[in-house]
Amino acid sequence: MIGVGKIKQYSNVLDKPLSKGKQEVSSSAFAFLFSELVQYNQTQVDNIAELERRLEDAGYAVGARVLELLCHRDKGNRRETRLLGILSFVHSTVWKVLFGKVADSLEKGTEHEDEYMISEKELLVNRFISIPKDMGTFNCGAFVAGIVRGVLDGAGFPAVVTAHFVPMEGQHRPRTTILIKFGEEVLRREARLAVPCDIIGSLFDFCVCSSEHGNFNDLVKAIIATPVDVKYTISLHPNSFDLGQDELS
Amino acid sequence: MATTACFIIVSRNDIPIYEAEVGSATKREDAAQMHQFILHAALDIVQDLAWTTSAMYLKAIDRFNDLVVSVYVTAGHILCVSDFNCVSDKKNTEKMENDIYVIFFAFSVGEVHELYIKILLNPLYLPGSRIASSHFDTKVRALARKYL
Amino acid sequence: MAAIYSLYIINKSGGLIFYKDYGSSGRMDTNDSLRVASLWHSMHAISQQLSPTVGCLGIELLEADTFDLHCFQSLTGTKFFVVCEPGTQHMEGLLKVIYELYTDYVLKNPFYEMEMPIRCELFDINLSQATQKDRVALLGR
Repeated sequence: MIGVGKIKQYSNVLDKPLSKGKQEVSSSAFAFLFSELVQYNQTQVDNIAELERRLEDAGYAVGARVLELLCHRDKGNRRETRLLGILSFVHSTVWKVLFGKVADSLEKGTEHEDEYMISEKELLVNRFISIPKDMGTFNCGAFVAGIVRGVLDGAGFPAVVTAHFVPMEGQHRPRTTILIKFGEEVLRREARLAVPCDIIGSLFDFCVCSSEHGNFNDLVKAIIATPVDVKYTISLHPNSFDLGQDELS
Repeated sequence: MATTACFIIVSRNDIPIYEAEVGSATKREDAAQMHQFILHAALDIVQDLAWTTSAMYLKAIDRFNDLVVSVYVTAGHILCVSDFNCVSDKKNTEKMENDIYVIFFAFSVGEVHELYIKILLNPLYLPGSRIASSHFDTKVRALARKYL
Repeated sequence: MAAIYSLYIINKSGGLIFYKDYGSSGRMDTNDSLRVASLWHSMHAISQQLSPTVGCLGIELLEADTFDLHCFQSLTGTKFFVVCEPGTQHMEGLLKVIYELYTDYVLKNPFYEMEMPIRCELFDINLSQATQKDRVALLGR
């Protein structure tokens, strides 16, 4: 076996240092292992939904561990307490460690406020997998969705995470989109947390995005003149934060 | 300096998954229940406090007589809670508290957290279940001896 | 530029698991292709026995008046062969590439059952790219 001689053997796992983890593994080895995981789970289920759920559970266990490890290793023992923070942690840090690159895109859902999407042109787990016609919309990305759910849930952001194929114009292969739908309590907490620290930022963004609809100067005057408790209600729209950024860029 | 301390690790749903009583002082009969009581009482405070900062180490969050409760929240919201007995020397309280924070910081940040991650990375360990590894126990106690 | 007529992949027991024809000449129906596959399988096996050289692995190239047949056998006994215009270049290289695609997109696919006919979308897509004429010509470099 390759590399067996190089690795120092420790009598107990607790003695082993938590290394930087820059080693790479063979993509073939992973592909075969993952293929075996899917095949094993296929023998244990009656329908496709069940298979998807089992893959997601397998990913969940990975996600829960990855969160703990990466916050210690890459983030210098800082936790993520904010929604956008944890999303960008998943999109960049987690993706980079697991798949060697940051995810292709991270977007906010257009129809619902609580939905976010991470899209990937070619998901590593799907690289060699062709879904048979009779399995319909099944996507092995369910495993990755499980990882994302594991990270989010572990960090205290419970969410429903699903993987979907989205056809792309001018491309042979559809891309995979990981859809994240946060629980109600997450958004409520987010709104609460947005108040003290981001009040200036939210207000500013609120001005920017509202300026299209009204006179900017009037609005600024109005806000400056507003008593503190009213400001409180204005900044209770955490979404103005995102809207504002879109508008600025 | 701290003479006695109770150290517990609590899982997401407030279930203790590891407990250790460390320190040099002779044990009082009711000490075990007392520590349990104080530590569990502190959990509620942590729930709210944990969301206001992104730091993992939340210093002293509660005190009961001469016991100071200190907590460390990991990324997965696993809590390492500990209470210390600080000898009440009124003149020097501030400095001593500081000393204790430093000790606890070194104790849990540097070492116990790492040990916990290693336990967690074991694929056979179910997250949120009791840490039964005797090796873990030995290591934690050795660390406590080193710092306390 | 010489052309490929058809491509076959047969499993270790001689069953046809993949067939694709290119162009109009030499087109045949399913039954014929199955027959060619099993015929080639037996001929290949017999040739190993008849060969005067020790350790012969079977026919690699069959040259006829109207076609060339290049064959590649993997270690597991799966045979890949292409039928092409006489004198077509770089066919050994192409067969190696196809073998590689087979190991990637067929064997790593959890929904493929061993020794069964290959129905993998990704394999088809990558195969059609590999068999494009300009791609094949590049193999010679």
